[in-house]
Amino acid sequence: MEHAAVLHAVESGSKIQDLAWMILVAPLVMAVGTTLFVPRDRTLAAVFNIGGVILSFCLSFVLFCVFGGGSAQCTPFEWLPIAGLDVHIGLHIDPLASLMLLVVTGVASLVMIYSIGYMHDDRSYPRFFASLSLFVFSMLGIVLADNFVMLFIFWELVGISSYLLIGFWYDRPAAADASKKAFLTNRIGDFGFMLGILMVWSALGTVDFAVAKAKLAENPALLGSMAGIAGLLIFMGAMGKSAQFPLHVWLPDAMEGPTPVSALIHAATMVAAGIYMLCRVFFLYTAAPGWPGPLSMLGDLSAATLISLVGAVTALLAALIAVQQNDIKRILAFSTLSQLGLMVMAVGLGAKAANPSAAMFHLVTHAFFKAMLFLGAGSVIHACHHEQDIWKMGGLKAKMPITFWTFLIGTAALAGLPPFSGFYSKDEIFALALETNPILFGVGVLVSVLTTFYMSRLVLVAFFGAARSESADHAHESPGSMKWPLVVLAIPSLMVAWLPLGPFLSESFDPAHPVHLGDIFFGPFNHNPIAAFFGFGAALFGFSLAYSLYWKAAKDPLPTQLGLLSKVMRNRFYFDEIYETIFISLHNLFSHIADWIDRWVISGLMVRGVSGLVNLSGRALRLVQTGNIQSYTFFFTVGVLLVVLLARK
Amino acid sequence: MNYSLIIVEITAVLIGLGVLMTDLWISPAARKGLGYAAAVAVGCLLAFATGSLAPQHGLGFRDSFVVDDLARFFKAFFLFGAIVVILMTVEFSSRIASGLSEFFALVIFALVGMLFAASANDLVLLFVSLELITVTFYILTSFQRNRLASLEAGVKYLILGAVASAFMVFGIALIFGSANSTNFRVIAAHQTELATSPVFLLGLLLVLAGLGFKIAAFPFQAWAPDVYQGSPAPATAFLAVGSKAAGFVLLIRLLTQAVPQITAEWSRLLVVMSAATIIYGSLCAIPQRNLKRLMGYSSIANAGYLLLGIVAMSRSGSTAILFYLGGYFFTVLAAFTAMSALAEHIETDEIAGLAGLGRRSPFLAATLTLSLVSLAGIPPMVGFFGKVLLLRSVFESAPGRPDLYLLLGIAVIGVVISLYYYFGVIRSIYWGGSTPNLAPIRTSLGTKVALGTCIAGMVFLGIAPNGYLRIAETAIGGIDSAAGRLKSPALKKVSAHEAH
Amino acid sequence: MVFFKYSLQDPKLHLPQAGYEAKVKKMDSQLNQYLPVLMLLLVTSGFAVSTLIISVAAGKLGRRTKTKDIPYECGMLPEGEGNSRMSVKFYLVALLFVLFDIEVVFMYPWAVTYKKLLETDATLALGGMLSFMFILLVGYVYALKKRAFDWKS
Repeated sequence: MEHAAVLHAVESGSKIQDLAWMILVAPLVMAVGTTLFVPRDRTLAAVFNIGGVILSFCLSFVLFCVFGGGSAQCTPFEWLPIAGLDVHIGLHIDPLASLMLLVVTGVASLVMIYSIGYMHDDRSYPRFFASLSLFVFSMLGIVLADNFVMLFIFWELVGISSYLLIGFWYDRPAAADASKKAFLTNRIGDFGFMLGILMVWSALGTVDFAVAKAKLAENPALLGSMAGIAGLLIFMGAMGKSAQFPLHVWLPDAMEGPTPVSALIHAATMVAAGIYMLCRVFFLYTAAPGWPGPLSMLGDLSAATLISLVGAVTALLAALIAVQQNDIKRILAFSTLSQLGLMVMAVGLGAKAANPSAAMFHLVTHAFFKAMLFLGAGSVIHACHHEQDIWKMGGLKAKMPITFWTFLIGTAALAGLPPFSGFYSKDEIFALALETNPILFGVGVLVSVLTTFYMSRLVLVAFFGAARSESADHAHESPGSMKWPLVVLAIPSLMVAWLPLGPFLSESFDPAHPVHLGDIFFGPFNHNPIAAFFGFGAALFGFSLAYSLYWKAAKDPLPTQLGLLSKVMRNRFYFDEIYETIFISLHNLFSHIADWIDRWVISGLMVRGVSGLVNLSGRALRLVQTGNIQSYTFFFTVGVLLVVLLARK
Repeated sequence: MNYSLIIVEITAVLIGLGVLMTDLWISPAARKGLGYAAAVAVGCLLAFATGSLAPQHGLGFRDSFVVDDLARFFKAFFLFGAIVVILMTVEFSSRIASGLSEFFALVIFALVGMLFAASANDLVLLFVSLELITVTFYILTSFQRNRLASLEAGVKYLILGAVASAFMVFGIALIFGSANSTNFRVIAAHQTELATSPVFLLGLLLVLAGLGFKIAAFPFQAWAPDVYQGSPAPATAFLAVGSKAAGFVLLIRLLTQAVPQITAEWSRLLVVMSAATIIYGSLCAIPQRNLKRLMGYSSIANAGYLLLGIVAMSRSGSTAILFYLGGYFFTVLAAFTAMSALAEHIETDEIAGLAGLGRRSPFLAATLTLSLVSLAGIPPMVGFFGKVLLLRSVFESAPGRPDLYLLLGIAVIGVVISLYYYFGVIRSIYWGGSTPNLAPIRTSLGTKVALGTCIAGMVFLGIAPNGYLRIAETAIGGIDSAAGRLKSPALKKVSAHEAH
Repeated sequence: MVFFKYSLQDPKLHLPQAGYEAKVKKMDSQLNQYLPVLMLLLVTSGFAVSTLIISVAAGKLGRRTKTKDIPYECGMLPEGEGNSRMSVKFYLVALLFVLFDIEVVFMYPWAVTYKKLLETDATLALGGMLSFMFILLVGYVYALKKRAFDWKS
């Protein structure tokens, strides 16, 4: 093993290995078991799947405590030892992965418990749990994968489980369409991802993360002129999964799936897979920049810088759109988009500091409070008999106190108020931006203002004032299985940032670069007061703006004040429409051409021609097969002569 | 003389005789139980043969019998195959009017022939073991005496088999006449001199024709479709798996072990044989309406793919043959076991008769589908990996032999054509026209276990082929080195020295 | 692990004596000796075919009568069916007779060389024949129990 030296030594390798495999496989076993053996039994299905995920969570916790900050790679067997491409099935555990394991399994356990209540009346209850388990398995695979090929396989598996879950209510046309849209949009990203993997493989001759990292550490210019393109192509994968501009269009539609799915997959974990992947292959972005001939004018501009720009654009666009949405889940969806944009921006900016921990940090805090917000929204929707328009709610504060208070904590965390977790992680991003790129810092602050604004708007409209519809009037608190996950999630939403996650995470990257994450309470004001004050100020400003507009408002005053802009924002900057006109009409044009070619050239000339020819020769040859034993014997003898003839020199 | 070398064979003979004798004293109703007992006995033998107590390496009986890794590999292969075929026969028993126990016994006797063939190191043993296999199959193919097609299959196999044997025995006589020996080792030691002797070469070609008949390679393939179609499904399965593999182990021994130098000069012959076999099998399969006949043509095409490994004339080629045979084993046994399980419920062998199977028995439908997908060579099934290995071995040998590139092209075209007819069957299973009969089909536990094993084998070898590949490599390991050593000039001195 | 290899140092290897190559050459020249046989084959088959052709070409098709079409049977008038029916048991017994009869043939060469065999490998000499007889016995018991010898059933 040539990369053994690169890794920190692992003492108790085999036990860690067993543990990691069990974490990975437990949900798969449950998903398969449910589908094969108890496809009808609701209780057993729920017990099995939730048990499996909780088991994974406990084991992850053990791994986290026992193994701590160590890193290990276990490659029990080679899968494809084709010359030049050695793919093994192996797991890679380091602080980055073990933290992510906790986040994924933790959120997943709570979301699945929540689903007991939320999905109670659904007839495909077991299928739902099996699909969720399948998703958890795929997601854990991404987290633990130690090479590009395995990562890609689980990447696709995640895509499939997301497809299954968005289209869970497949009898609703909107859900079916949304699942297709998500899948196809992701295909575009994955195509680039695959090209990127191939490029890295051709340049470095390996698909193993540790080996590739070691090779690049030895010679940062090893990727040569391909560095930029390869980095961007790999980023395309993240663009698809993490819904970055311009592939962001699928995420809002994905809210057609059940709300727990939105919470787990489309807020906390899967969409974060892109960020996680970028951190996992971060060594690609710290390598020397390089562009092939035609793109050489990009010069020293690295792929990471372009990535941070994409992230900033996504963050800003999504925040603007969220301001004028009325559907509670859509607001949260665009908020997710916007936060993911911030994280991508942080990854890009992190390249200069050789440490993307800020993005991972925000990922972790965001996973908890966004999952909680979604579950809270689900609770509200459940209570209001599947009413999703915030202008038809109102006054829910008194009727569902627990949902309200947890939702408020989530909002505060998302808005970035100290001492809630979001403040610290966001602050880290701001500090990073201030050091490396002041323009993006400005964008970040603006996004923060907008974030607080639309979240306050949501809370003020939905929970305060008077009930604006019958269903809101009859709302009542949700059952225990839905309530308690909210309460449990509120704890990490508040406190997770107080843990020393930063130094912990940094061990996965370059320990030479010190970071100052995880300062409790007012720590941020000490080490980077400007960033902290701007972050805090943005939150206050956003809130006061929202308060002045929406306190006891009966309807949204913004459309009249902003006019056209509001309409544009409400219609999501017409991205879907633009895509529809451009891509669909282009697509139609191409498909007409392709249809013509298919009909006349491929089908007519080639397929019918060739298959006709093949068919004809098949029929002709069959005539030889007369069934007549005399002629068979004759053929045999002729065959012997033929063989002798051919063997002659 | 070391009799422990043939302990596996002796035990197999005793099991066969035991089955035959036991049948005389038990009631007809207990015959199915006898089948299970026979399967268990063969299973124990398999466990013994693969264990460390069985003879590992050795040469005996005047050098005519060899035990090495290759022989042990194929012995395990044949024993395993026999178990599945016996279980399949139990499932099929309702269609065998009389003599169920005889069917078991005959399967075991054919197995004995295969076990000897795996160890044959002498043309005489080669001939005798092949005859034992072929003669047993004459009966097995015509076992359904009241079915005209089965009788026809038996008669055809008998006459053509006799013709093939005649050519082969004539070839062996010529070889003995020119080489003064029938032993592979002696022939290998003198192949340089023998290569100049037309009598020897003619003899070798006639033996090749006989083996070509066994594996159903062009131009000796004519019997395959008729016999496959007519025979009872378990007999067809054993014919496809066991008999073909026996042909290939002998081809490997003869062509790459005994006379590698001569084989290298016959590149053109082998290339043409392989290409023609692939093309013939694939093209003729297209218009077929009968599933078993289709499998017959598929078996021809697969013989062509397997010949690629011989054409490559390399270690990796032989390894690929072993790997492919392993995958083919699971695939074909799964398909035929499913077909025998269906035989009771679906009166016809026609492909159209499969309509509605997807709903009647999802399990059997899935098994059939998976095996067809594997035969078509689609990942992640084992058929894909086997084909990749075979094509790669040819590709590696291709530099300097331009006709191999053409052969590769033909092989790929054959694969594409095969997709067409295999998926025709799958279409019929799931999207076939409406059928009045939608009664669910139940399968017995034994069948389920056998099918489950086969499916697991197909998928597992396709996903994680390495362990098995290493076994195949070990099995081939001894061979090439032997041939390589014989080529070295130092050895010639030794042989000259020893001649005194 | 030791693989089996074709090691020519192996003393057990029975190699033909020196002058092997010359022998091979001689054998090849022997093939030429078969040329007259081939010629004979050609002449005989040519004769047969040509006689048939000539008889058809030269001969005149006479008038066919019923009497003329009667199969020739030593001057006697044929009686009964051309192919008379027999009990299937007859074939079974005949087959078994031939089978066991042929097996005895194997014993002659064994008996002739028995003394010589004893010198080289006594176990094989007696054991081989005994196992052969045992398998025959099994076959006999099988035939007996299946009532193959029972004409009446």
